[in-house]
Amino acid sequence: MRFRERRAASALGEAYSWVAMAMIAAVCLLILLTVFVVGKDAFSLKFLTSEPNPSAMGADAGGISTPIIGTVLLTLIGIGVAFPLSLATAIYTTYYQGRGPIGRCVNLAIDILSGVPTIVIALFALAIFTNPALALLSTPVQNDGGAIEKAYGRSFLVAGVTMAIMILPSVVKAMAEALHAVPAAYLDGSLALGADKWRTVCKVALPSARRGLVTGAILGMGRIMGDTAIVWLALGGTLRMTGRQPWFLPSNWLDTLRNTGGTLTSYIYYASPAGEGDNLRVAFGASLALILIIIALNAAAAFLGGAGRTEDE
Amino acid sequence: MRVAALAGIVAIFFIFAFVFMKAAPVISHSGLGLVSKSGFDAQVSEAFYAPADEPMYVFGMLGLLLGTTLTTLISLAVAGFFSIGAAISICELAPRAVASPLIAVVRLMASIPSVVFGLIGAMLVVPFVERVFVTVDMQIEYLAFFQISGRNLLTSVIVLTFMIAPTVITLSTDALRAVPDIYRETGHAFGMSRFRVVWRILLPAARPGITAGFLLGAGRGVGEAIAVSMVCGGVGKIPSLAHGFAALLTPVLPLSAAIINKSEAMSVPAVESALFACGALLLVLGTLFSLAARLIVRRTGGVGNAF
Amino acid sequence: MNGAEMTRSGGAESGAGARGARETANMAGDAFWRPRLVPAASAGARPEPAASGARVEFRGVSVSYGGKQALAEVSLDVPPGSVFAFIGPSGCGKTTLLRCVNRLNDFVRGFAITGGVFRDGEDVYSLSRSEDVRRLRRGTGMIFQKPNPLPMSVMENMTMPYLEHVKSSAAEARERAVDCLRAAGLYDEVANRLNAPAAALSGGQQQRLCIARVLMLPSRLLLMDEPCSALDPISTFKIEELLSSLKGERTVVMVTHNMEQARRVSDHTAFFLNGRLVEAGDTYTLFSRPREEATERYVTGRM
Repeated sequence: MRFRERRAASALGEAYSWVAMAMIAAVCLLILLTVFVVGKDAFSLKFLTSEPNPSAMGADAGGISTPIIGTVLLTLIGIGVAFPLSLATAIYTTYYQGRGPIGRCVNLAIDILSGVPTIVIALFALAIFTNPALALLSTPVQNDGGAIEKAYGRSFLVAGVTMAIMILPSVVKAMAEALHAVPAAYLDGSLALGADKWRTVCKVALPSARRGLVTGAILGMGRIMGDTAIVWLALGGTLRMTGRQPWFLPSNWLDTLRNTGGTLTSYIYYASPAGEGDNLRVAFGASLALILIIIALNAAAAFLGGAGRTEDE
Repeated sequence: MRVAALAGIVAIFFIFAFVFMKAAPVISHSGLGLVSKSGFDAQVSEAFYAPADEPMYVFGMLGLLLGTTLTTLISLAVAGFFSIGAAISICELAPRAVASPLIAVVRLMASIPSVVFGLIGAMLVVPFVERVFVTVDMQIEYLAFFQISGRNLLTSVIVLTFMIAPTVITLSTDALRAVPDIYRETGHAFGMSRFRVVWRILLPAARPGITAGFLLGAGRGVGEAIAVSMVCGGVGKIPSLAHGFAALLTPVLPLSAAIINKSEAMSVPAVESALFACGALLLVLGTLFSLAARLIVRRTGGVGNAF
Repeated sequence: MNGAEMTRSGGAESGAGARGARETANMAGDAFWRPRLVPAASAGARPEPAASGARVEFRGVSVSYGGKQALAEVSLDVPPGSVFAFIGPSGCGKTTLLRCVNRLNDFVRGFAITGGVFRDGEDVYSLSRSEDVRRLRRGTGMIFQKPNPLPMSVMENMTMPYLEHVKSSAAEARERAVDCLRAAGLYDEVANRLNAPAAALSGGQQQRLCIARVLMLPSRLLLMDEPCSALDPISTFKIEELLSSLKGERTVVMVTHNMEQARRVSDHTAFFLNGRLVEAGDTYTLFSRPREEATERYVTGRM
């Protein structure tokens, strides 16, 4: 019997793995360092708290206050719409109709939806929200006679609902996973005590899965913050709020939500060499701000997930 | 609650209905030519300036489709090659002091918005490609075919690779970590070397998770609009092997980037319909991906669960 | 004795090094070997050389994990060709000692050993090159507590480790696999399921598959870590039967919780308590006339 040692194969394989890891590490560091080094020059309190200059980017480009607020607003609207829908879907497929025909259809629809590119969802939003019947989400466009011809179809509300559709599949999957992780013994215990199914779900399953549910929601919020395609097509991607001014007065809030605006991502796109602004300094400044927000969000998710684990142990 | 649970079904139904409804004029006028003919850029401007009473509805999107396919496949191959190696190192070879911070950085990269990758691409990769690969002689030589600049197929592939790799690494490391320790011990007890244990036992055991990572990466590649639109060149040329290396420097326009790039001409109904036709093609591609993923997960997942 | 400090990765697991000359024939079991066939007259069976099991000696072995003592000063001889059982309550260190023989503890964080573990006279912890350690493991069969088929088909489970180490064609490997499955008495049960996933077999069949898989590579030493603890009585019986057919040409060291099993299959038994070797001797004597009171209490079930 002749043995083979496979020394060369092992050495080659290890070399490949190390080199691949080194390349990946180098690229990651290059990208992150670039954002931090270039971005920090623009970073200041004034940059974060002043509105973008309306006309041109130039030397005095202004700050990124409204894009930051736009990001926050859009994220809140999106998760506000998506959270109840996702939770209902996850409960339904986990505890009620998982194997029935309707449950299968829901699962299939969620799977297909997860594969739809966000740009297509953005296009879809353009198609549906310009319908005059949905004009209350954006602003009506009147024809010469003053009758409402169609809706403008771009606003915070429209983009928020669109974002909710975009994140629905990933949030549903995360929530369903959290619900699946609830030990069956908990549920059986509650059912054995005579509680009905709905009460068991509400009083036992949801509380013990709540950290997973929150983590799923945070995951969805991260995706909303990072998306540009929907902002560009369904929110308008303007630099400033376009509703009645000043937009921050409570009496103008609803109008602001029904009008176009922008977020950090659309600001970055606008300020990049590909957009009209072409101002790398502020583009990287805004990127840095966005990445810091996302890091904070991830930290929150990790904290909640980790805390959940220690509690269970 | 039951009604709310149907949101997914309603959403997917309306997405298909509206996208195809809006795309219908272009699809019905172009027929199969939509995916077998090229010349999208010229057709868009033609349609844009066509008189309102005789709109131009015939488009050919072969160039865009090839742009999507080529950018996605090449970057997936490159990202996959490096990601598997990196995942092996992170999970099985590197000491914890190196692996833990690195995986944290990779996870952060996976959550960075695509527009930032586009920005990096436009600021770093475009000048890099321009300086290293593009010469004036080359630009003159290929002037008849296309204008060579720093924005081209190669640049798009590099930027997409940056975006896809963190996703693939994240899912691959998760899958490798989920492989029970007993498989590692089994391999070592047979006297296999550290790398051979990974190669012959752990990677096959982690295959469903790694496959999921590749599918997710492919989905990201196909659907990515913003970052690619910033570096792709914006012209839907078809790279030709006859051009040798210069084929990699062909400006391209993948489907999703086309929607962003031409969105300003959308006020013209024919152009709008054409962009919805792009969306319809993407929708079909995305659906095929999801169904394939479902099938693979179900098949291997069934076996995997038994272990 | 020479004490070697081993930590995770053990220094020996990394680095390839030049082709060395330290291969010892007795350790690698280079002699041509074929599994003993249960149906005695099988086509293609070649005459077997008179193989004999390996000798294992422990000399003053102490083990600690991250500073916590797990074994103290164990000295023990395992005669060639015998079946040797380690018994004792959970956590007494018997599995730790077993895993020292093929250095599988090297992967455990904080593992440190002093003293010597000898296989056919060679201190296994003096092996410094990873190839030598791998050769040691290659020549040692290991059966785990939980059946550990790999996530592949029955046939792939059999051929993978073999093709990994032996210059051989796939067809030859499959042929040998059939022989080994026969030797393990499993072939008839799985003949029409060779390409099904190994996980689809019952627990007892999986464990016998693992034993058959170990037979694929020439080994003169078998380490078994509670091989039957997860199995039902009938499967246990089949495995014990298989074990007694294997002894002689292989030394078998097994850890067991089941004292009846130790009594049934082993020639020698060692009793461990709290990381110390209390008593060792031939099985009959240890069970019938133990020297130590602790042993007597344990074997009579009063502890």
